[in-house]
Amino acid sequence: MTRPHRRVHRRAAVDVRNIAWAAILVAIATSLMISALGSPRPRTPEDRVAAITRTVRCPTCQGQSAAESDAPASLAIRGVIDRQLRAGDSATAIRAYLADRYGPDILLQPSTSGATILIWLLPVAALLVGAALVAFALRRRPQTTATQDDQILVDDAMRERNAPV
Amino acid sequence: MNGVIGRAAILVGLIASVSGAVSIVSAVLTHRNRLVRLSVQYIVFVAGAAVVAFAVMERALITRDFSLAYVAQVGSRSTPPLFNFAALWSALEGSILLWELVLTGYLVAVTIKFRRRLDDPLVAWALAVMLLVAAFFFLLMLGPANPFRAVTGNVPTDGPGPNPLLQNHILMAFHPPMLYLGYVGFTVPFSFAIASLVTGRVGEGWLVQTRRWTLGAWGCLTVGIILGGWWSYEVLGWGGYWGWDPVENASLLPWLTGTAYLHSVMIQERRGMLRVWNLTLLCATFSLTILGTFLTRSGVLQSVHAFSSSGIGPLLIGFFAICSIGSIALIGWRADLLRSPGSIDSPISREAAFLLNNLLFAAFAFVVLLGTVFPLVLEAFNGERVSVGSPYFNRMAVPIGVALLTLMAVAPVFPWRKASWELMRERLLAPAAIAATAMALTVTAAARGPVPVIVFGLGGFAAGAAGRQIVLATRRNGWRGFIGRANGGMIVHMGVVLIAVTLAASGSFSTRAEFTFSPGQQGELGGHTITYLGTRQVTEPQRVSTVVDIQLDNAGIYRPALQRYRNSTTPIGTPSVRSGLLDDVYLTILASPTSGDPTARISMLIMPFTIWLWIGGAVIALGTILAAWPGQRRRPTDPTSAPTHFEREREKPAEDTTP
Repeated sequence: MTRPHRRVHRRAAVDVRNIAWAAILVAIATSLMISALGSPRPRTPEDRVAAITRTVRCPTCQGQSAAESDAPASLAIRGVIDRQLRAGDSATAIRAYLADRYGPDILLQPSTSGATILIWLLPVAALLVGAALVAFALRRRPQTTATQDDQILVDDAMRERNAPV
Repeated sequence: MNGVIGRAAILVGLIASVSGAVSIVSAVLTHRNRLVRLSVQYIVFVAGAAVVAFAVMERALITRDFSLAYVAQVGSRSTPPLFNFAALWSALEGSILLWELVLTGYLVAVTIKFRRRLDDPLVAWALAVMLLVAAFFFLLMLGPANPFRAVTGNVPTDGPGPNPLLQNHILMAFHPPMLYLGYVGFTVPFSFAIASLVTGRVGEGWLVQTRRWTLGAWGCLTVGIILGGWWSYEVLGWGGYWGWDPVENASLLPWLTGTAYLHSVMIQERRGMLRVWNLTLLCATFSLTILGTFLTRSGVLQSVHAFSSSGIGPLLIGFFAICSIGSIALIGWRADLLRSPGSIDSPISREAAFLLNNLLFAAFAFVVLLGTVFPLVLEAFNGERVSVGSPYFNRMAVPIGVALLTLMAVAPVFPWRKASWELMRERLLAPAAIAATAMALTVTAAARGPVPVIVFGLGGFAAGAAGRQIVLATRRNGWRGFIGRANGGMIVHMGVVLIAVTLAASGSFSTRAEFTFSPGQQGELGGHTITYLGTRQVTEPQRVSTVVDIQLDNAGIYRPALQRYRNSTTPIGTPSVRSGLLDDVYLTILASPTSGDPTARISMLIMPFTIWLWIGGAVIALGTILAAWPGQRRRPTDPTSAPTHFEREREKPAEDTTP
């Protein structure tokens, strides 16, 4: 393949590529719009119970949620959640009720008030500090530019490397 | 008898490892090379001691020597042989023993691998560090975690056996050893890192020489974590594989920093940059394995995995403090040698992508650590009790995970130093086309919700970017295009994509129902029908099981069970899982029939794609092996500046990825 040919071929390829990119972006945007029309809500009553029990601690065991444990206390909590959901209470109301009855540490999601707000803020602060450090590392330019002597050395090395063996 | 031999072995191990370390260090400091080589022979005694201690403990378990307190605690005459063998690591003392065995295994392997360079100060110091770590674990076994303590009072005739949950599934024989191969494996690069700091040889030599050790440790840790999830899924019966339990978090922490290290180390090997950061990550990874052991074994945090509390806590936290403060001090001491020679040219380059990757992994590790210790710290601080569990971790981890997936989608096509938009447009075309196809297919399959659709799209993108690299490499080099770090790494990426997509699917599309059945009744969920056939009792030496027979679709009979072990009053539910390529049907018994109530209550859970988690794990293992496979290495003198690279890529006809 000679050079001019190749350039023509390449220009055609670039045009096709632009069309392809446009098609891809349209497909992605359309898919995202359709996907936003609905959300994968829990479908069965048991799904709704499980979604709430996963956010509640098992009162008698350690390190497990009420959804994971089969302890009698967890079964009792599942029963409470089931009854209240059937009675039409919202998830927030049920969690508030459980926090009232068992104490606030029954909920596995720490609240955003008081000292526990730190657990939400610290990671964000750490991420910002880290991002600032990365940005600093990226902004830092090489302090020295290659001198003419350096360039001669590089050229020599490259010539040596590319020389036919 | 077993106790005496075991205690003697541990004492010999402690003395030999301390003497070995002291002897090697003094010989290196006085430049007596022959003495270094002689001192290394202490390792024979160290390894021998660990093997003897392990063998004696297994012998005691197999011969049911209940005169040992440990055997009386975890052994039983009725435990089947495999679980009896695995009972060694079912409690604290035995797992420290397993840790020591694995550590001395690595010690011997490193000695053999570097046998021609034993008097090289770098290798000698690394061996000394490993010996000191080994000495610490012998010390633990001599003190608070003594596996060979004699039983107090009369020798019992039988024991309770391991925790019922730990003798329920074959994975119990593989998950802990695999995990320990990972945890302990990081001791090798850590030791070389310390050795490089001590000797001042902080260049890239030690990094390259420990590259495969790090990869191996990382691969074992990854597989160990996934096996743990699989065990949890098959045994615990709540239908999940990850609960953000403190022990799970403790295994995730070194995995996160280790993964960050595997990426950032490439910048150092290629450009000589980020030396301090890489040393920090490596020392953090090792220290976090110790901290994790402290958090979960000392009883400060309770969890499913936490063994009984003991006096081991202060020693572990002390060792953690020595390791972390010592590494920081060494890094500070060598700061002038660690200054990096280069800088990053462009925010759109492979270096910059690795930096961003490290930022995200570090943030992830911070979130996991914070969430794990926050209740402890807060309670110590003002007495307030809070719980932190999956809602918090999911809320924090999902955005970080999506950001990492995004990076994984675009970063593999970035060249070193600097990329142009033109280049990006060309290289990202095929991956973007795959992403668009994946998203279109997802919405066509009536899946809704932005999160799963975005994750599926990004997964397609990342798989496309990884696949592009493999395709190009195999076109260029044939089957050799599958091996080497870049290509093996891309296969690992594909495994990670499988796992990410599955996590998104099971988070969004799993569904469950509960049925109350009389014999012959049917239930239906998610396109699967189950028929309740009946309940029966099965008696084995170690347990009595209530087994429910359920006909699932036309796929056969599935048998969830409730098992009552002789050593436990509460029954253990054992799920029965039909795994398919598209979904799993997960059956558990909620209540078995009683004389008063002849109906059975069955829980049915549909988990989409779950099998791809385990397949993803296998793909990651395969990719790790390929990445570590010996092959041609890039010539270190190859120029990596942007224009040269770009032109070279453009000259290849293979690069024309027109659709």
